[in-house]
Amino acid sequence: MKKILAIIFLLGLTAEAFASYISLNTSLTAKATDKELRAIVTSVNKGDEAAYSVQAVVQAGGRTVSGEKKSELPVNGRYEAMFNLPVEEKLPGVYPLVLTMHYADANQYPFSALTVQTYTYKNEPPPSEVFGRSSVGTFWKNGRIKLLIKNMSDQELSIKITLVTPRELIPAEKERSILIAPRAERRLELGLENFSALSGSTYQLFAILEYEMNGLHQTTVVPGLAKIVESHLILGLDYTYLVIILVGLVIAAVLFQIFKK
Amino acid sequence: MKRPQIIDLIVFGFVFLFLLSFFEPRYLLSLTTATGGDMGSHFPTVEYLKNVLLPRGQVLGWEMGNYAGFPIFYHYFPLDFVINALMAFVIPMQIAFKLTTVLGTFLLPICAYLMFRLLGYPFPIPIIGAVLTLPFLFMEANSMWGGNIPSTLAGEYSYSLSLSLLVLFFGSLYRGVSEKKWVVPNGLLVAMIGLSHGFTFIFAGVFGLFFLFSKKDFFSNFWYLVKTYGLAFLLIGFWFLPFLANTPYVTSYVTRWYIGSLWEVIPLILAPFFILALAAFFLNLFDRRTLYFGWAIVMALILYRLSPNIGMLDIRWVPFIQLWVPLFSATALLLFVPTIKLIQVVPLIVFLVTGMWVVPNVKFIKSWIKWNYEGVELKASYPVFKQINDFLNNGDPGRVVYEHSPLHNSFGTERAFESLPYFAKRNTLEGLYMQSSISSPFVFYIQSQISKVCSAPFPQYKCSGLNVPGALPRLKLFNVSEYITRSPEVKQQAASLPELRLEKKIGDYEIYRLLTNDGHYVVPVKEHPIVTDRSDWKREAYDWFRQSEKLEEPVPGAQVIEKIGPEEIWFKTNLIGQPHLIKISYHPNWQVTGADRVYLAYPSFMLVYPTQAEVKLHFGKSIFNRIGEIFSLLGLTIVLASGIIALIHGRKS
Repeated sequence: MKKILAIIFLLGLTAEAFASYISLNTSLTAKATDKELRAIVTSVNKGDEAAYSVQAVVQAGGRTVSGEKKSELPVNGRYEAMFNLPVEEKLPGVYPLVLTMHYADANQYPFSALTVQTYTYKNEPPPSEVFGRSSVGTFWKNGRIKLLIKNMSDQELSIKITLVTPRELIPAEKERSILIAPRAERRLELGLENFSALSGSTYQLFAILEYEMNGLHQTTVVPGLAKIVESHLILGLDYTYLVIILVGLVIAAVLFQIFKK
Repeated sequence: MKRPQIIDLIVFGFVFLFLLSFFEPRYLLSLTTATGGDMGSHFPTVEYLKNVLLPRGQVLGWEMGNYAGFPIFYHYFPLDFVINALMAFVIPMQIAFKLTTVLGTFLLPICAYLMFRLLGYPFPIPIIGAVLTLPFLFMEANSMWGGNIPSTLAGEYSYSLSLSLLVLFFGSLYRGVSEKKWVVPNGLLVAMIGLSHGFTFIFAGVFGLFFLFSKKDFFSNFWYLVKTYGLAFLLIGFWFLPFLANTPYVTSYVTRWYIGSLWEVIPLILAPFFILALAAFFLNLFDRRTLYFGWAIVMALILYRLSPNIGMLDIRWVPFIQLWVPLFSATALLLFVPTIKLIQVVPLIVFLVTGMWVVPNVKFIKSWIKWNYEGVELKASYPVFKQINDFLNNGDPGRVVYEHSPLHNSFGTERAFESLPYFAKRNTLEGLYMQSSISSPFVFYIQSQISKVCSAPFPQYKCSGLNVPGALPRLKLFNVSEYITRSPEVKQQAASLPELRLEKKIGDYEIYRLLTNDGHYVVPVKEHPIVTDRSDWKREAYDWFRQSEKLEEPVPGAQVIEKIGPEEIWFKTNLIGQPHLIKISYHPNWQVTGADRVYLAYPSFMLVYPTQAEVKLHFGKSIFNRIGEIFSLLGLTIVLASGIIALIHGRKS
């Protein structure tokens, strides 16, 4: 009977899942000649789980180039890609270079990680006169990136702000241009929407500030961190409202208990 | 409607809205195939029941698709599947399947409410009991013990349904025994519990023992229990007797669960309710119903401790403790009910507090629900899965084997290829119901030879390392025509063998054809070992399978035509009197015409000596099936007769 019972009731066991992670350590080096930008991407998986469908995509000078897709990048595996992009910038100076590493986990859930650098085209300009600071903070569905931009030069500057986000987050405005008076600062907020970011994850994003001054192009890269935390809702109500309702009910019950005869 | 009932309805509305905020209808009602864990592999079973077995008037039968064939529902619980298949005659199969998988979860609050009502607890304790099922349902501490949502999503939804029915039976039996009524409804309930899970079935029996601790009512209670459980036994006879008779033809799976910390049993989400239950115990110490709850909890603890000694899985008893304790905590309010003036707001307060406690403790359930119920078809890698299935659909009738790999999970579950019989209309080796077949140890041995990572689920059967060349004769013996590979190491071994030819590359998968196999299930052999002494044949067959060099010796010049149906094998041969190996699992229910008898041949197949050119095998019914069906008919007659009598009495009164 013992044997029979053992057979009968031990059905349908599944394997327990253990948390693991993918961590791509990515380096990007770039050098521009008069007509060409050469970018070299190296990425090593320092996590404890293989990454899949790994592919680097580089954007510079309005062009986007994709590297070869590697079907599997094992733990400590290395991904390398080299890009040659034709560059025909109007002005010499410093320009942004955006690298997006696309990859997926074992369930083919897609992720992306950003790196933003600058490269110098023809002449190296003096240090940028624009300073920026960002804060994003924590959000779930909709968030905002708050930017503080300071013009430290003696000229009024027209600054183009480009928001670069991983594909999990969608900016409400991808670009915006502003004017900043000499020695002045401006605060602005740009909306972000959570498209497919997972709760508990932190995503790096960038605001790229570009302007022209004295015949030179300048770029300032402002990094920011968005932390995604699912907000607790019950029947669509936030905890604040729930606590108010709860307190209201408790007070009503207590008052009724005391005063009702 | 009275005010308490209105409050009950309102709070029930909140409870279901709460559940639906996780189980989003857009997923549950979408026309996609649910997946995830074991769940995905249950779907083809429902499809087979609806399209093959039920039209023949059967629930129990034979499934050719996995494990070289196995008796389906002889070793698994059919109730959920029958409900599902019947629903699928009215609504699309995919939706019916999804709704059935959540049936137990959504029924639990209702059953808890009814249980408290039947136990005679006053308002608002029943509705509070319903609310207090939420911490148990949303407990994420385990996904394999049963009853909670993660276990349900892992595929244990039959247990969930059974547990809900058990909760209802807990109250119904108490009321029935106390008032000496409801023998038939209670018998029906026990039957439904038994047809949906074994552990709950045993626990339903444990409840009954409580009523024998009475000097005054011992005999009347005993007689009541005999009638109730007797009726249940009759009703499930059609399944239970064949199930018992089938036990020599299953593969046992015995393991002991290691619990590292008490927090696994009493996780944070349940902890406050355990404390509250302790208070409830002392507050209601002299209430007989408290003893009844206590009996259930203590018995679950005893069974947990005893399980390893009686060959049962201990952790299956833990959910009874994890559910019954929070339920009992609802009675902490009992003494104060008459003194609370605005008692109507109490359930609302309890719902809010419970909900606000549960939600921050839930981390992954919502994403698991999405993963399961958005379905196979919405996975990013579905085009690859579909191409593989479409390609295989055009192949010969031989079986398809696949490398075991956790990476198959991108198709929805690691077990995705177990559903090849459904998606590709091709038989494969592995399947979900590994205990149901005598062929499963051999299948897992093959898996270990052809995979970089193997699952080796049976500790009593030693597996191999990666050795594709060594697997080839075993693949031929199991009539494997095609081999799906995934890892670079396995692909490399497969590519180097002349017996395997690469047929197709799809995504990261490569499909090879086994050139040494012609895809026949019936093969005349010069000689082949058969089982004569059944005392330890499984071990001997396993050793033979692992070590033998010559697994199969075909006869040259044989001409065999074969047809394989769901429960039929027909072949025509030119070698009358010669042994014919049938590469399909043996079972005593197989009946033959055109040969004297069916032999159990190594490793787990059938062998016949044809006495004529045409031979037909049919998976029929044994004496146990027949007796069981008579029992069930008798049980149904009692149920119908009592129904008619109750109706007549009702009209007269």
